[in-house]
Amino acid sequence: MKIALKARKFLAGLILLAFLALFVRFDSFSSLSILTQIQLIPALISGGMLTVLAIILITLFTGRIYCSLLCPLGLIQDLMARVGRIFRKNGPGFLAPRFFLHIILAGLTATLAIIGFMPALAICEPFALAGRLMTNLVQPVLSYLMWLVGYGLEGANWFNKARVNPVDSHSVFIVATIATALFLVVLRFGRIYCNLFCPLGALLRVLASFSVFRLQIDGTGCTGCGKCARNCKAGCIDLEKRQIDFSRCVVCLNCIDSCSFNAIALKPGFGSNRTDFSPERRALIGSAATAAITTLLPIALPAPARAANRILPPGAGNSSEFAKKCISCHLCISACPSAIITVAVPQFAAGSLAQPELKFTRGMCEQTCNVCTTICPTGAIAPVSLEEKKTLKIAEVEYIKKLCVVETDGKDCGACAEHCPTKAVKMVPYRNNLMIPEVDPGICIGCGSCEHICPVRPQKAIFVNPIEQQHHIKLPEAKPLQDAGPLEDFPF
Amino acid sequence: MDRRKFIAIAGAVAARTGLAKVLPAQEPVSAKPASGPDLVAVRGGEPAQMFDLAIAAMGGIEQFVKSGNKVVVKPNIGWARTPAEAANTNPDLIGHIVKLCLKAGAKEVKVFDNTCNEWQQCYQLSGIEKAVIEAGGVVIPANSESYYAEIGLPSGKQLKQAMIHKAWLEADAIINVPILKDHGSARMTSVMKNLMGIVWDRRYYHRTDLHQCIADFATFDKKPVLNVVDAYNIMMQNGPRGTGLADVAQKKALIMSRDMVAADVAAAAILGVDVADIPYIAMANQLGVGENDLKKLKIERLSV
Repeated sequence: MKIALKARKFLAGLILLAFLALFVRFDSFSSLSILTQIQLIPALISGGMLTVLAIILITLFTGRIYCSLLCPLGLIQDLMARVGRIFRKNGPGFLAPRFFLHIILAGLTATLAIIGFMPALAICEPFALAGRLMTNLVQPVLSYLMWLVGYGLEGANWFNKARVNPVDSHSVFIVATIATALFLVVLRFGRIYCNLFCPLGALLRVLASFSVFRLQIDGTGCTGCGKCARNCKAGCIDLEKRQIDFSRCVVCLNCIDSCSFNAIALKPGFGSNRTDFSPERRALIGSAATAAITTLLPIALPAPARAANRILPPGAGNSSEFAKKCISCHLCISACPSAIITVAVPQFAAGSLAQPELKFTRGMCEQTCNVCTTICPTGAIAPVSLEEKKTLKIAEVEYIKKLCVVETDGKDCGACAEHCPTKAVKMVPYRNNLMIPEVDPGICIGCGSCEHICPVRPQKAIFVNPIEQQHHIKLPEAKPLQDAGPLEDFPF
Repeated sequence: MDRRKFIAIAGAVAARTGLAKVLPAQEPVSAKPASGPDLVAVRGGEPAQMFDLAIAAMGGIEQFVKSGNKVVVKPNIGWARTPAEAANTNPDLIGHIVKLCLKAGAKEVKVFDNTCNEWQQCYQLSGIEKAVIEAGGVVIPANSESYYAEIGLPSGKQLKQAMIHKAWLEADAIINVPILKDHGSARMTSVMKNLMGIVWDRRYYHRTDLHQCIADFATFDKKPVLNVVDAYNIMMQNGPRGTGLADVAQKKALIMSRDMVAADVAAAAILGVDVADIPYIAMANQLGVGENDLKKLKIERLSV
């Protein structure tokens, strides 16, 4: 079994690295976004039933391998535990199961999510938590270091092509606090997050209690030395009863490795490990309770807080639909090459906490880019082809003439019209041989180019406003040139 | 080594180091040969072909690029658009120039632009990154303020200082290769407007006085040794970004001159815009940047 443990650790390391690469350098590692397609909760939301079915079957067969291999937050916690060994050698020891509390918390979260209030799920969903950690803490540091390396090298190279991120101080502070708390919890209680707060953990827990194969202590070989219990990160080995609560086990295989008497093995054991505690019965009761809550809560709760109207990534549709699907994993934020997708923290919009919105300080929504529409794990941002994107309206222009340089200073500017891809902003003759912007909101797609480049401060003279629903517009045909042929003679 | 010998050596080293700073490294390369034309205009060929005719008329690339020189070639790579859309300088032309510079003995050829759209997409979609690398040159980034250094513009009226790309300051010879386009705010973008792409804060131009700033920057004493206007595919309307292929005319022309103002005047004629409608040309002429009366210049007109 030593090989199995080594293989598990190697694979886990590889997958953690892949997650890191995906979130830090999406430009180079976009193919790794396959990892986001096999995440259980995103798959449940996007309707990726094949993924859901596969994970359910695997868990029914051999327990919560998912938690030790595919879940990025599980992998991060294992990394934290490894670092934590400097401070604390032993695992948490046997922990109380707290099955009901876990199921009720998960049931509440799921219910809120189903009725369209996402923040509860967004806060505790492991993929989203891991994503926010990588996007807001890891990526800014690593990209900057890469850029520094590139700065010293010749030419435009892979390193200086790293996007140096704008750092949102709110999110960094919140995420850093959560990460620190998680580290302390891992240090003291091991994988308690997975067995108390993780909604996905609750589901897998119920499934794992029916698992065909399970880790079991062989009563005759066991001397009760307690090494396995000290090495168990889930705190699920009850030394007194010499039993493993397999519903909480994340199948890390540490116990097998630690046992000097080969008394622990993964064996078919449906119906074994019986005590007064019956996972099946509890699971049944838990499911019934969840079902009851799920039915009753929507009636008891007021309608979810309306999501604030903001400018959304192309393909997001409208604010309320988007708010119901996005779990705030921040993958789009870390992947956007123009760094215009940012976190909507300071708006205090309860229904859309930590969800993305577009801000055009760093750039514009480029005509030649549809990255965010191709990668959303929950389908909150629907796919949009580059051709479709040319006519997809995500916001609408507003021009305030009295702030414009042409009006205030009597000088030519025209930066907005230069950048406009549809000519919704164009320059028309004005007094004193000047040219002044004229806007046609009807053909504006809201890409934010004009807002990005407008030199007027503090308030820009031209900017884009959110719209209720993203939709396609019809662009006018360009008028043909009178003479498009080669130069017949020199005009000088 | 005795003390006397040491002092003698130290003195010699100090003198040489100090002198190297005082003495010019080499003759200024832009000195005009006595007989050559002031401006060459070519029509009817492919970009590289027209460049070869023009540079031969100017006395060969060796007039401008000396062996061991660090060269900067400055195209327009402002937009994430394909070559056919004519928003950026023709990549074949840029590749060809890079190749010729290296052939003339240039130590290195660097190419960059401070782009409007996201820089990596501009470098890639324009085809320029690929063309430069294939020709043996280097594309360098210009997307961060750290790549820029401040310079003074004592003759400038509005623009008194600017942050410009360090590669420009380090270069021995600079070849400015704009594409000729219609331009919503500057009316025309060509030679002088292309220099906005070596400046970090382009918004300053826009909020201060666009035309005066363009002219002011042209007074910077480190000028291109050669200006090549790519007028092969020209965006005749909706510039500088353009809405698509309908905006583009295939004029098949090229202009070459040491004089930025003269080249811009000739470019305006090809674009069909009255020079009087492009205020920065007259402003630059007033500042002594170059000649805006083509009648006073020796022009060579060539057809392929």
